[in-house]
Amino acid sequence: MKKMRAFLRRLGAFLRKKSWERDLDAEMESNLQFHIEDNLRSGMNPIEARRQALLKFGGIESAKESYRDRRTLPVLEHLLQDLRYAVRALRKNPAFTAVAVLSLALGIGANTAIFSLIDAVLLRELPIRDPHRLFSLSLAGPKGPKEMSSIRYGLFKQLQNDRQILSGIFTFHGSPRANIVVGQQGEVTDALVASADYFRVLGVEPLIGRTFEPSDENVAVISHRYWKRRFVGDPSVVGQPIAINRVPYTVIGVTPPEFFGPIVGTWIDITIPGPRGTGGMLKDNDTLAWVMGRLADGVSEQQARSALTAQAQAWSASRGLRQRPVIALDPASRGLSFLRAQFSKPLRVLMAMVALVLLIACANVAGLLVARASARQQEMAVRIGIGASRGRLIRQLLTESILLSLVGGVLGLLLANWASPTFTSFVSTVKDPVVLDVALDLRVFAFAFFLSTITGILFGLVPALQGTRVDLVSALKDSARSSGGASRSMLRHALVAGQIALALLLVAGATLFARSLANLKNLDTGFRRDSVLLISLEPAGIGYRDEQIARLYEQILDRVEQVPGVRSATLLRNNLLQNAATFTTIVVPGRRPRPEDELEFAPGLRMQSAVHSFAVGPRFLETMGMTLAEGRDFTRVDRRGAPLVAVVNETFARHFFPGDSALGKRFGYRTEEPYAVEIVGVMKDVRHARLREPALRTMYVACLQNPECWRDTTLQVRTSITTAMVPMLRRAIGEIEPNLPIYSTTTLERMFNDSVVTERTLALLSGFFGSLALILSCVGLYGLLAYSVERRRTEIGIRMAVGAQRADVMAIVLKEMAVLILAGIVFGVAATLAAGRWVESFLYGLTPSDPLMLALTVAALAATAALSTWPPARRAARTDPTISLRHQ
Amino acid sequence: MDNKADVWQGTLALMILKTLETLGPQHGYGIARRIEQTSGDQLSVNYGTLYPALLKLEQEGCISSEWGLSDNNRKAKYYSLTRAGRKQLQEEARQWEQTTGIMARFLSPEQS
Repeated sequence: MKKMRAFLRRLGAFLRKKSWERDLDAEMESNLQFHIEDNLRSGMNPIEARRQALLKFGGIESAKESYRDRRTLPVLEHLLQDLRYAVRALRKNPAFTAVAVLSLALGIGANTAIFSLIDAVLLRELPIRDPHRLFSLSLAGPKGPKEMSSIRYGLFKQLQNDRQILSGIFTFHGSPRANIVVGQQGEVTDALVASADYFRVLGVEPLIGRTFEPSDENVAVISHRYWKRRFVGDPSVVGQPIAINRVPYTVIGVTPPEFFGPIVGTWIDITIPGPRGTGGMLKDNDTLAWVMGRLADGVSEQQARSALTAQAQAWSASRGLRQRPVIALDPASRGLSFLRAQFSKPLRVLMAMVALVLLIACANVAGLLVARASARQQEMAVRIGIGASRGRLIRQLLTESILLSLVGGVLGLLLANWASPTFTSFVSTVKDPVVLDVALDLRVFAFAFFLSTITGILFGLVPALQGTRVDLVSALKDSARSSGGASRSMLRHALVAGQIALALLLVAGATLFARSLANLKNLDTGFRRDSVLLISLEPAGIGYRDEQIARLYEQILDRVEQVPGVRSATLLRNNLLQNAATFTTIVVPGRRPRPEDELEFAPGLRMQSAVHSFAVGPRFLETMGMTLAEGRDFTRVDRRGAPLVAVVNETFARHFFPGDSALGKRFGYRTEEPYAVEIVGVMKDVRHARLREPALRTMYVACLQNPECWRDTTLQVRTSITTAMVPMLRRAIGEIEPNLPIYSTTTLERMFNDSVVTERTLALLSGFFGSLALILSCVGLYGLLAYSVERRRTEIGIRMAVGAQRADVMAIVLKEMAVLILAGIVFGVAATLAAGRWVESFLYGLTPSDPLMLALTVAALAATAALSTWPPARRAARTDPTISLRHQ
Repeated sequence: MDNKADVWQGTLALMILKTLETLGPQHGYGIARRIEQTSGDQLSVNYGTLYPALLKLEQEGCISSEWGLSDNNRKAKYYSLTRAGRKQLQEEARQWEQTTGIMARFLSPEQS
């Protein structure tokens, strides 16, 4: 308490800076006078009285000094002095400061940008109340998570009414790419269907209006972002009508600006109450997509798990189910994210890369500081000579370097602020646009601040230690130029060699990722990607049912094929590229299920006698440009009522009918009907599900024969011209059914590019960081050589005076550098080979030790290094002996 | 060096507080003289220690200072004890007596 008070007063005194010195002088003067008067009274003569008094007083200056230390906080006082001094020193040397700050800004900026992505995707918690109490619920079988399944609606309703264990529970499912009409203007955006308690459980209070109430129907809560964009922030938005997929809704509220919903990476613009089944009301046995709940106060995770499990089992038993489910709780504080699984490793790779970039920048600045330290040797010697302690000098030098890095950090933050959204857009795809809140929050600020400080110490400490290790006598005697010391130039050389090694590592990484991407893009997938247009339709959305849908599709196909420019049109149920094949169990007559017939369709889950299957329309192979090996393509004959047919790929044929033609063979879906389907065609293998893996056994069935395929199907149209066709096709479809919602239109090429988004992101960013590393280390190399040429001017002058030619001088200078560059390259190659294993899983069609890649990288590095050594070397060769010798 | 003992930091603060309690408001020189006299000139107060000690006590709120005039009309800075200082003095005096009591018993010849 007392200490605190004293501290605050000292702090106050530091901030006020009153004229305490005059005050103290006056006090001492008056006390001195008292003393003299006393001495006079005791009979001394005036001179003696004064002398004695002064003697008693002791050193006035040292009294003042200890008074000053006590008066304010010396640490702060010194820091301020150091800062002022550092600012002066940095301003005196603008070129040095600019290069250092810029290097650091690039390094710190890149780190901060990647960190803000990591923060948004991996670390940050949802902007909701007490996120740690939020858990997602799922059912696990008694044998563990291998039999994970969703919670059924009946159980959910029961849990919803019980507030003992969970203070609240909600379910939600996405309605991605919903068609929203405000006024006359339609637009596609991401909507979420959530149960009544959604907002209450999350603890999200509306900015305006209200959130859901249990009886709500056809109301919508909109995001702040959407409100600003579509309603221009109109405060009277509450009560306005909008149409979602042609159903009228009323806006009832707006969420706070930072709230984006439960899914990281997807910004939910519209939330409507639900959940709803395909035909309206949900039945008790229907499964829910996601269920989350908040633990009641005082209930531990463990207690909740067992209590919920008991309830779930009771519910199962009451419905006569034999299962004994176990409720699994997973922390949901950071929300759901599909990005997390896909990008956590690439983000780590990128973070490592930017850390190396920063290291290179540090080496640059450290090199510059070492050079400056030798120039400032005399200054240091003088300061030590007049009594500064070495610790004080080191502290002062460190203040200077931390100041440098903080300035770099501020600039870096600005860079990051600009770069993060750009980086985010790299991860976005047409199908899954990624919207992340990468605004610089406190955590990112803290990261940048600590990074800057640590960076400052990192590059400042060694030069400071070296710079203050001064041999007083020789330093004061000699000029700054001739002294310096072997260890100091050794250090600079090591720094530059290290930079080259790191740059090589980064450039090698960039080359690897770029070549993988190129390999993937040039991959022969076995089908045409160009000139295929994809159009998503949803007839069920406007009330079409069953047979009607199939008939509508046939009409649309007829009409679309008449549009000039269209070569053929077909249907496809699953996305060809995104690992979206259906797993189907088949029965091959006369074949007992074997272990090799199983397929793993989820981690740990195997399906017996399974194949991948796609439901497709007539002329599918023709439209996609796939090659038929035997038999025929699907035709308009393969419709409802006609015999079931399938086209299989060669892998399928080889697997089930080895050594024989599969054409004309039959298989079934159930043991009772093993001859249900006839194979009418065998096609060459294509790669779609996973581009990296060999073809899987796949069959294609006619979707117009399979009622379960009639709901969601995309129309695939092969045309001579692609995107320009979209309006014409829309019009053609409109002629058949004017109200049919048309969702997304894209090209297969775009879809393909989206399927390599991880690789593309890595290639783009690593290319960027690799170039940055290269530039930074060239600056370092150039700086070192320029400096060493400058220092050796006298030596070079003497050499030339005694007859050395320009070429000889160049050779001397370049030889030194060549050794450095070579050492850097050797270490860099070693590091690349060692680090390669870590990124192997991202590579396609080449190994981390790919000789061509290594050769290219080394060549690129050697060339740039040579380029940056050329100007200083030439300057050395141009040295005029008379001038350089007189200079000394 | 003469054989006068230097005053330790901690005890100096206690002496200053006691002096101010006895004499009332007093300037720095007066405090120093009083301490030296009370000690029978066995102590010598170093001004390099006295001023920071006074400052410290003031910062801690034990004493306050203001400029005033001395008997012979000289301007001087006068220190006086505050309420907190009085409490502090009692507390420290009690502790000091306790400590010296223990030390005395420890060092007295009868105890062996």
